Amino acid sequence: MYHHHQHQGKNINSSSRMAVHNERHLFLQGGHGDSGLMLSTDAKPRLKWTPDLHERFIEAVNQLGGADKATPKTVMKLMGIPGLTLYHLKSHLQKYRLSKNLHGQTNNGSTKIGAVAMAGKRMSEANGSPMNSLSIGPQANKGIQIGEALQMQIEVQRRLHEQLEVQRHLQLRIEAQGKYLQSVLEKAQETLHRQNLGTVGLEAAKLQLSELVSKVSNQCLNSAFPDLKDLRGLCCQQTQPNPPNDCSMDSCLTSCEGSQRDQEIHNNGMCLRTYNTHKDPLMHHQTETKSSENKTMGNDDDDERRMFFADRNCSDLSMSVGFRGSFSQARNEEHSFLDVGNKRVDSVNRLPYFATKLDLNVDEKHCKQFDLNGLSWS
Amino acid sequence: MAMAIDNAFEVDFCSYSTSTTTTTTADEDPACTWNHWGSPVVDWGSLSSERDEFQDLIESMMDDGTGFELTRLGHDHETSNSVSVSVSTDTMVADEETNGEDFKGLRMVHLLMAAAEALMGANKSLARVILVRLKELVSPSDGTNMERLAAYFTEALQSLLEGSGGGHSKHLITNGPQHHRDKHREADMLAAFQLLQDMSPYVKFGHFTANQAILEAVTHDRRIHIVDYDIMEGIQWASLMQALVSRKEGPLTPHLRITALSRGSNGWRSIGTIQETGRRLTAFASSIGQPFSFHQCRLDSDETFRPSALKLVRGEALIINCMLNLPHFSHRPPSSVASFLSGAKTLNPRLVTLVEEEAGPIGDGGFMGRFMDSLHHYSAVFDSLEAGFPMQCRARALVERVILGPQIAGSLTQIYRNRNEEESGRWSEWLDTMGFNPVSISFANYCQAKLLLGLFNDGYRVEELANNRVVLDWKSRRLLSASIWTSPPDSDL
Repeated sequence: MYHHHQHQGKNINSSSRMAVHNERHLFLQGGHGDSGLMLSTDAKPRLKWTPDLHERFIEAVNQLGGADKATPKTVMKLMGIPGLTLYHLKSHLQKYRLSKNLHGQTNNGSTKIGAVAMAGKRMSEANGSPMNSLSIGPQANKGIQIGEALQMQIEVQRRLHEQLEVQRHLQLRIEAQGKYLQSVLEKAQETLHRQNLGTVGLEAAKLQLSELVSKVSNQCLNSAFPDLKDLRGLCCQQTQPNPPNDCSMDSCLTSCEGSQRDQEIHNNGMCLRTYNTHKDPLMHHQTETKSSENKTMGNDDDDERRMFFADRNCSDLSMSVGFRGSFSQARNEEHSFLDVGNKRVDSVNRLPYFATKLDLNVDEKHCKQFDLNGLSWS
Repeated sequence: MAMAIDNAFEVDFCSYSTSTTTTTTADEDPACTWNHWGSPVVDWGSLSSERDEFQDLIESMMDDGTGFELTRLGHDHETSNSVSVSVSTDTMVADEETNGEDFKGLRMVHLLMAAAEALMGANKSLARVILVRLKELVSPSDGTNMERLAAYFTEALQSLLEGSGGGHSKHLITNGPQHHRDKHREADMLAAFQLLQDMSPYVKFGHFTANQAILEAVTHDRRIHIVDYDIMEGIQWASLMQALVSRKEGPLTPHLRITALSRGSNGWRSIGTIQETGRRLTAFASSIGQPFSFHQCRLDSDETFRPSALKLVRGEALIINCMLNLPHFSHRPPSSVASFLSGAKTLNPRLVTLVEEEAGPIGDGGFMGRFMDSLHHYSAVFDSLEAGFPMQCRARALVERVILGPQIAGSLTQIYRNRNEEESGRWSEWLDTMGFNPVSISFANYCQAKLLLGLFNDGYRVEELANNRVVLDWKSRRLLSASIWTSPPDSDL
């Protein structure tokens, strides 16, 4: 559907405001009141077919009975614009005829193509650089459609570009937030830890919670930002100097399959209750602690998670908990812990900013027995 | 798991998922449990004055086709239960266990409503009875979403009933004796907050939308001053600083100044004090090279904001940031928020960012309407967590216990306190009537919100309700609203 080309110039101006601002290679808008020709400074005698000029061309053509009947010579005479040569008119008329034919055969689709072609031609004229792809020919009606089509293209491109920008920024911002949150949690943990040396139940609770947290973190991030593996650097550094090795995890550490997580529903509550009733001074299991120190989740990555658990069975609690990064499950059942044979380590990504670093006992020297009653570290 | 939220009485809770539950509820033996609380016989006759309305309630529920829980009282399961409820028995529905959880869910909703109504009617004994019954049916740590939700609402109503109010209900289920509770609470709080951040977009949505609007408003400024109504741990500002440090246009790395409003207590749910927050933010800023300074501004004891107490610098872009009722935030009294926002107006800020809970249609209004709306709201929140993390029951239970439970209590307390007042409406509407001008939310901002939600479950949606307001939805329920405002020009005349 052709729109009236008289509105072309103004409409383009009004409707493609934004596009015009942003795209420097847009063709210049019309609005030239005078009939002066805009000749580019190229070697080739290129004429800038401004909307006004084009309007006059079309008037002339119509007066002469249509594109087929008009000839360059007659059009030139009729338009009466000095400086307009036959050469200009020949090519323009040819394109005009082509576009009219196109329109005659098809509908809007080609109109748009024609419009874009026309716009493309104009753009090339404006730039002085040829655009080969679209040379279908001038569009008879260069009204709103050129502006719209072009504007649409530009708008789409701009939005895509913007979306990519947004995505990139979002990644960075989430990281920053995660980093900050980690620092909050760390410091709070430190404070808590110092304050609560004597609290048995707290350690257990922390344990449970740390496990929960990393589990969730890692799961939810499996789908997010898979390309952030290299941001490991952002993560808090590894402070456990123990080299990762799959040494015998015959105590303490367990990991279970995901499906077993549900079994731990009560552990939080149970755990706390259990601990609360066990108020005797805790003996630690030296052997367990030691072996747990040496034990890390064998993982090549820096971000490992190590969890050392108390053996509740014996109603003592010796903990040295520090974990980070990928998760492993620990099952706090009554019996001793299994080995880590079926540990599951997410190697898909290490998203350090989400990994909680609840390093309750980070340094090796703390990974020892501590007498929870005596409130001292040994 | 969409929940059709239409009318209070037509709520369809049928599609609740069945999370695994590994304990049995205490529902199995009503007769015994009745005996537990002391008086095995409830003499309903003594409640005669309120009985009519209660009877009506029962009958209306029975007419709905759902057997009201109390009808069971009239039946013997095992022993003779001498509860005498003279309800018309012809429509009594006996033990409809057929629909299982749907039925139970609906029943609980009805019980909750009955309790709420009783509370409104100042019928404390009735409310107490119903709440006891509810507590037998549900527990916060197991059951379906609806059951756990009902448990938290029950607790909240219970604390209202006992007048402890205060917004921070301490009657939450705890697992340990008193002296352990505080310490557990902090540890729990840390983990729960982290979990909440990871499991849901609620907090990030508010923060990022506000931050993006701020960034766009200050592109050419060298000095930025943000007054934060409720800074909590200051997490919002980390990502803003990162964005400021890496911005490419305008004066590079402008100076950022944050003034945090401080109250007598930072809310028991905040991790650390405001001073600590300031230290952390300062450390973070220096670690990324952001020029930064931090200030506090004390609110009065009644939390009134005095704009004159702020230290303003010439030439800085003033931003007012107001995050209300995000998960894990305390519910601030409306008078405080009002004084803050109206005080803010006198300062002619460049931008006002407001994030608040979005309430649904209130219906008849009043306490009951808002109560039901709150029920729907948190139901959607519970659902959204479950949909994203169906297997992590423990994690969700923790978040629910530590963060959402108290939030429910705070919300109900606020609703109850303001029950005789007019429709409180939205703060964004209030800003509008105060004369602030809306600021459009840019395409980039909207896009960011959509991308953010895309990281989570696809039941989340962003809706653009006005050109300066976007809303985060879960399925069809609107949950959080973020709106951007600015002072009208020439307003200091």
